[in-house]
Amino acid sequence: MRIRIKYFGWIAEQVNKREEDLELDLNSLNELKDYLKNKNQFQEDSSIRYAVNQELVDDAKLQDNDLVALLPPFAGG
Amino acid sequence: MQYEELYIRYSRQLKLPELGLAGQEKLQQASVLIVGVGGLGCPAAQYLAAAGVGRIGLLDGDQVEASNLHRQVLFLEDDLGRNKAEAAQEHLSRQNSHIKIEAYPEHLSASNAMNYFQAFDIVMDGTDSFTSKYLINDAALKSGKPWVYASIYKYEGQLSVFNYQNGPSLRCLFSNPPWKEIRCEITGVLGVLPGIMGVKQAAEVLKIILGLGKVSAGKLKLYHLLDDEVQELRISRNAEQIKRVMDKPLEEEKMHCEFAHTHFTYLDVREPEEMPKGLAPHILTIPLSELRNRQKEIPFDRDIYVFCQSGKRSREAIHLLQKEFGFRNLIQVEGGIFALQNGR
Repeated sequence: MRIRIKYFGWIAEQVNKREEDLELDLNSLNELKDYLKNKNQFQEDSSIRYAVNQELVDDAKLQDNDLVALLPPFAGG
Repeated sequence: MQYEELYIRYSRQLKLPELGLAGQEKLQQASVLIVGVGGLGCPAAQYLAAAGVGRIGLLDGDQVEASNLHRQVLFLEDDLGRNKAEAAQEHLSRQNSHIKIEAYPEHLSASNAMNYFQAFDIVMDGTDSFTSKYLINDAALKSGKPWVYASIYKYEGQLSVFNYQNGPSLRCLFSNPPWKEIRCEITGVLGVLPGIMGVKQAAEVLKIILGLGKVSAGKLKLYHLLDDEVQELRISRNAEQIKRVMDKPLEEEKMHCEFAHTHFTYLDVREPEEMPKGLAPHILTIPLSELRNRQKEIPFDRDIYVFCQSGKRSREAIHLLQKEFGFRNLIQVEGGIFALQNGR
């Protein structure tokens, strides 16, 4: 299935893009997290939050054409 | 203020049927505490003062520096070296002499936060550190005040209103600060971004006071400057996170601040394969196995915080560097990176 991923903050910087479409065979957000961890394109941090279709969640079932956002906290002002 | 004077001064907003004299009265009765009078706090304070918010508190312990002037446009060259809260108070009082503007030239702390928060209706976050933002969050929860959050990173801004009408808090979004602190002083920022975000925060404050439109509570607005795009994520209230704050005394997230502070230098002695990518420039990375050969890279002239994964190798590293090379400036981070990440 196709998942659109949006990267924010320093994650976007480390993966060097703000969004991408991935063709993947997986069922849940947790599987996607593992997949991204293995790709090792950005620094893992337990504070990163994930949103599926604009809803912040810890885990969720993923379906074709879902939109997943990766959000790191930042504190500039 | 005389009725006629007031009528002329605020005529352009009084003309809005949703506002009118009743709305102006609400603004006059309202009080807002701005914590941090910098890139976000200055523009917000300017618009809130101009709109006639009756009482504005300005809390900031920092001085105006030359590197602030490109984005903190309330300040003039004459203000360099002055306390920010006091300089801002002077300028804002000249903008609107009919409202009360109070300057508090000190930093927000766990010991003064509750007193300040209890004395105002709404808190606006103009700070630039995780320590301050989490302290604002926890003090706002404990004092039952809504607070308007914003953060920026390079060309991106985040905005939300927390603790508004039983809505979520910052900890419902990010339960703990990360171990890595990123600040403008390292990353750089175009002055207009905090300007835009600060004005958006002021708009949220006005909406709360006036009961206008939809307050951005329960959602996080993500703004990207370069393509002028706003995205929205929904945040739900996490009762457990809120209870965690309510059950413990107010305290600062100190460890993260120290670890992240760019005035400190860190030494990471983990091996290359376990090191996270993208560490800040103030973190030296020399694996324990290479320490003897590379000890010359470690400065003598300042405190160095040494860490590893669990705390075992950093102890070994300090022992080695002290015994064989005479280092006297090494401080061990107990519990290693795990402790840093979990805020212990």
